[in-house]
Amino acid sequence: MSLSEHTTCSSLPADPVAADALIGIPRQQTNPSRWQGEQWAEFVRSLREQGIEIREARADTGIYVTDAGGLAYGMPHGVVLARSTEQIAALMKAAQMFAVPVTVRGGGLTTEGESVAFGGILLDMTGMSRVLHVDREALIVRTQAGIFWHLLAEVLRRDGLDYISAPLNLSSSVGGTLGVGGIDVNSSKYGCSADQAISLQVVTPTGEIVECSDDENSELFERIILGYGQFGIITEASLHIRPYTPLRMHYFYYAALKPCVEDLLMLDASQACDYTGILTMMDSAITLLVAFDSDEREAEFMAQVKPKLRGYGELMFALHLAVSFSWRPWKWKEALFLLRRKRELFPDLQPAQHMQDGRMLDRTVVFSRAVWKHWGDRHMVIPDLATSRDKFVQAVERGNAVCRKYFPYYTLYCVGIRLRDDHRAHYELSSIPADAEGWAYGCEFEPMYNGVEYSRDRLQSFKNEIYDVGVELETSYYRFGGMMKGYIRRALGDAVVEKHLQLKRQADPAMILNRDVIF
Amino acid sequence: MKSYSDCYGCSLCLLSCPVWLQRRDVRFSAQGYAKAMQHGADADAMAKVLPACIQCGACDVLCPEKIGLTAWIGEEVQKAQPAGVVRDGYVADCFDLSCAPAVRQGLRVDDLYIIDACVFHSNHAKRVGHYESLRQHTGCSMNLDLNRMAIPTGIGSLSVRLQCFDVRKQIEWLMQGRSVQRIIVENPADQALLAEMTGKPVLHVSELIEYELNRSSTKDA
Repeated sequence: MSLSEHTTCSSLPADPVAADALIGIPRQQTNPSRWQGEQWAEFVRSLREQGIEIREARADTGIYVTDAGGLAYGMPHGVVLARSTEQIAALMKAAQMFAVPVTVRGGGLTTEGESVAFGGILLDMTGMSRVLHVDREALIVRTQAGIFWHLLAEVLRRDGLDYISAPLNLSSSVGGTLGVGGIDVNSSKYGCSADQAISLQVVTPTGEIVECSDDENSELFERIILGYGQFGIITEASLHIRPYTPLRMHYFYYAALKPCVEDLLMLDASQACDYTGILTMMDSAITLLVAFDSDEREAEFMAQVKPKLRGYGELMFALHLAVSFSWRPWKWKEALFLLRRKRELFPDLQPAQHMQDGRMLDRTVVFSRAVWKHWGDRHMVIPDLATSRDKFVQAVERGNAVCRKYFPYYTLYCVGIRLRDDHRAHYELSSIPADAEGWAYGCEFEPMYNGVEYSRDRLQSFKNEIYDVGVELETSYYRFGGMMKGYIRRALGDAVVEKHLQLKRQADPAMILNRDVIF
Repeated sequence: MKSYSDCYGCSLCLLSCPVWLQRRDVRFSAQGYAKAMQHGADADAMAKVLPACIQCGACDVLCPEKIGLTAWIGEEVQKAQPAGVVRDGYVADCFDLSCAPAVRQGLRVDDLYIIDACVFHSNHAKRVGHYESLRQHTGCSMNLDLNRMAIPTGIGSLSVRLQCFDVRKQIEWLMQGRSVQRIIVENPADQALLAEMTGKPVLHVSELIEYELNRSSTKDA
């Protein structure tokens, strides 16, 4: 029986081992085959002759054995700590010559092993993490790309300044974020973090050092931004920044997902808020977060937009829940969980040392610490979906159904991402869905383990089922770039992937830079 | 009791680690120490990196696993040192002094108040609210970072005596972007070098109290 005949009488696709043939196969891309080390000795000798340190001791390489996802494990043959652009250029030239894979890592906050090296070189970019220049007048910062956003904020705050938008995670790096997008609770106003980049210094896969921006080497800039590290290594970045402002926060509570998501869409379209987002405790206790940079914006919202929201205040919502649970004793366990959750979580969302006169001083620290403490676990399992406005309610509801199937307790985090028409080309092979106009919307789905140990297989299977929803809805994914290689053809189509694969082959002849992430 | 084997590499300890901030090399951080041990580092390998730690204790507070690496590092560093190297001396706890009304009255907007990091971090949960309130009430600057960990000077630590930590570089970072007229310290060991490097008057907190009490009594008289 030929393969085509086999295909017609079974559920197997035309080519069962093609990149687009992984439906239903869990754990793809978590342990791709390890590079076998051909020409390693010559490669190392070449680098050492140029004065580049390579760490090969197990105690040094073991630091990078996994990523935040904690489901993929791999060891590099050696580690290079980034120290200068020239050093990285020399590394890439030698890597091309000897065909040695190079995996670049910033904060290591990937979830499918994208920043784990399965052999070859692990390039640790955190060695290049200093702020180079702050232009207080033009509100632009030039920084080395291995810097954590948290550290960038730390430096900028000394001058009363702040970054514009960054992931709510203390140890995300600037370079890694620009390569995947980056969302914040103000992304519905300012766009993703990658859209804050003005220009970049990049080391290409063949070792050239190139400055790029919308005006200079713009094609490279398009490929690097949201390019999953395929077309170069960002060594320095110039970013828009802004004056620092504390937040005025408000929370509204909902008992169902749909009205809450619809209100989020309405708020973003109205542009009445500076920060918006949804965070759930369960799908019967959903919080819509809104915040403002100024008293004026807050007052305007309270007068004109707040009456349109369908959410409750804290007291009214507590009463609503009490009534709802009182005649359903089989749901009392859930009620107790919500009560406990509220008691533990709410103080951490407004800790006294980060509040002043009712305003939140350090949103990233507060939210990030709450995330680390109250969500997730050793395995950062956060599959996500990104859609157009029109598909968002459906994506959230279907993702929520998957969560319910796998876990008794979980949380959803939703935000809007303002799109820039002039950056359409940046978004082509990215987390931004092709059909999104004006805004894209992202939802993360995260299990809460609550002391229960889940197997690696179960967690990976959960993630894949969320990704399958994305494929079925013909949409995308965002932030950590969860789906990657196993799904990208099904999500974005052969034409787009082939186009970028050709570009990749031209830019990276030995296909060594961050391989197996997408291509 | 959790140990280094419980570290899963979240990197949160790096964010307030003064040694990592100087070196930008994860091997010189609590995470790096723990990961190296998990992957079989022997005593010789650890002896190359552990002495850099100034044992300020910030990582103990930030670690979501509550591993408590500082005590372990202290023991290991001490074991690795040749006979005659003296352990870090006891630093008087000035928390009670910082609670004196005279401190609240005496601190000014253009003062920098330097909390003693080691003592503060070992009592962080109980004390962070007090210092933040003091900062907000008086408007003074403090050596608190965005995580509300105290940026240590490192002065007097064993690591400095072993020339593994650059105190001057640390003070440059501490002072970066700050415009202050006076510095108040809890640890008297900080006074001399801070005065030399900044050219500003540096008072111990007890001197601030004394100054403020004298000023009040003169005013009353």
